[in-house]
Amino acid sequence: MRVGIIGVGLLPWKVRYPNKTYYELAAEAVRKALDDAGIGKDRVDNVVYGLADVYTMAIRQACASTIIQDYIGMAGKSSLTVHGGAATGALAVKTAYAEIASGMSEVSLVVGTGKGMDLIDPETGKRSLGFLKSITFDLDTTWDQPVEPGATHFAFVVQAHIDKYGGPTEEQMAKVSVKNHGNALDNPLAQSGIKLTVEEVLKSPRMSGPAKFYDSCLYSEGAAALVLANEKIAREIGRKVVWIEGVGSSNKRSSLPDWDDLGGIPCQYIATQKAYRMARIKDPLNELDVIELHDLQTGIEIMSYEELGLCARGEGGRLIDEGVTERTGRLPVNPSGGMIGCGHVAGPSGISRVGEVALQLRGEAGKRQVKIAHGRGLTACIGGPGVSQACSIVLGV
Amino acid sequence: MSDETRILEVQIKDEFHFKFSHGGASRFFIELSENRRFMGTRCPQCGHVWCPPRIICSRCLSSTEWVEVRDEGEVLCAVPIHMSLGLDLSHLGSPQVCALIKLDGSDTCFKAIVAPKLGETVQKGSRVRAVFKGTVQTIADFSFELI
Repeated sequence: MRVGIIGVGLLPWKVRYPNKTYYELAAEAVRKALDDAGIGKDRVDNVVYGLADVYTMAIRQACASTIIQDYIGMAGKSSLTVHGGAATGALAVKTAYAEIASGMSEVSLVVGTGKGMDLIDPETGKRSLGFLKSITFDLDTTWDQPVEPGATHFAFVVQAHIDKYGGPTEEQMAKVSVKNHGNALDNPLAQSGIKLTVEEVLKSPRMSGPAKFYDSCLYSEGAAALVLANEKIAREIGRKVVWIEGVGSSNKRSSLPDWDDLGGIPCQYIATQKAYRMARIKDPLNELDVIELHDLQTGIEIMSYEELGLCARGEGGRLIDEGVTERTGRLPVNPSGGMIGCGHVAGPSGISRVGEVALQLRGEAGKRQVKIAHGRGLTACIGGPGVSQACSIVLGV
Repeated sequence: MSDETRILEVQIKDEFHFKFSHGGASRFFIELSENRRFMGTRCPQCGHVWCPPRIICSRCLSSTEWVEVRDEGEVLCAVPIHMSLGLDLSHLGSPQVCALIKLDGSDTCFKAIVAPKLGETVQKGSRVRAVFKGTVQTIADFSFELI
């Protein structure tokens, strides 16, 4: 059974929404998605929530879906909450796809919402420090948490690639930062559109390993929602439907304990191969028009070029050098600005990446619109401790 | 300011204290505290040696048995920590490197802090030896130095 995306509801990414609770943000995104689909809330059979555990802890709400379900007027309908680190949102879309493809539902709503900045470090008064402390809880309590601060586990993945292949270089990583911050300038939903130079990125403060401040993804507050429907209902709405043509996911840590894998992101390769097989994609560089992927750090975006099969292993840096992944390049990657320029909070982040590709394929991405020649795009989300969770989704029109 | 744009923020303190065990891996920490020796587990079925120890082999799901591994090993990957971001590592001295270390006699690796002396560089392939100060309750209670 074919499953289509018929409604997209994306909110602007912000450092903080001081005037909105997480369920108020969710309700705004849901209203936008239903308006976009042109259907009432009564048509929805099922809700899938993309709510990352770390963020439900950050808002002091262990079972947030119950509160949201009531607030968005869906009480009584079935619901399910999905969590998988920063891949949470894409995993929620995949789950909603399965709900419809199995015939259990005709219309499924995917909702993600997240607020990290409710946390505060009492000593410094900084909200960011409180939040960064909390994301350490993603890691293994006994073996990782005591020695691994913040996002160091992402730096390990990139450093291991540098050890193995001699790259990406710091300049290549800086070029990704310049690209994504620059793309965000043309995205009215983006949090951090900045015209940067490679030199400015290279001079920004070092974080962990090769990653500097401007190499690192944002932490934001926001919400996103999508409406998915079966083919019969999707065709009734009378507008361009974006079909889900391939889905794949995988859960495998990129470092411990399978150290033979060091230097790659095996979960992303496995998830994407599954999605490509389902969508019958054999040559992604020549069959896709656009990719939105999870640039947790600039080095990870370059590694993803390799895991997604756009080039051979160790050659990802060449693609940014040659401008292949620029918005005007052969295969634009993150024209939205990605997690580095647009915004990121696990849950809404993956849902919005799928929504962005859907808007691109509908030709409704405004100033960030890329050329659509093949009518196909890819969302590739990753996250979790040591980059362990991956979900890739091929969309087509 | 209109009523619509006024917001009320409250600051509360929610303090949790945890007291948890390391489960079947407890002996790893007890042996380090009492005898300064690293223990892993070996799978009698497939021979894989786990350090960090696992009481069940993840490769074949057999119950494992304890074996001693060496206190020296090789760095598989090293990441200098420039910003501790909320994690207090000050007791280990500065500068610190978080490294993936495979001890001799083990087939797996774990993350630990390496504290290089001035001018030393920790990188893939570096040889390291464990250094202890006191009781070992967590993996942050010991570190490694370059050999």
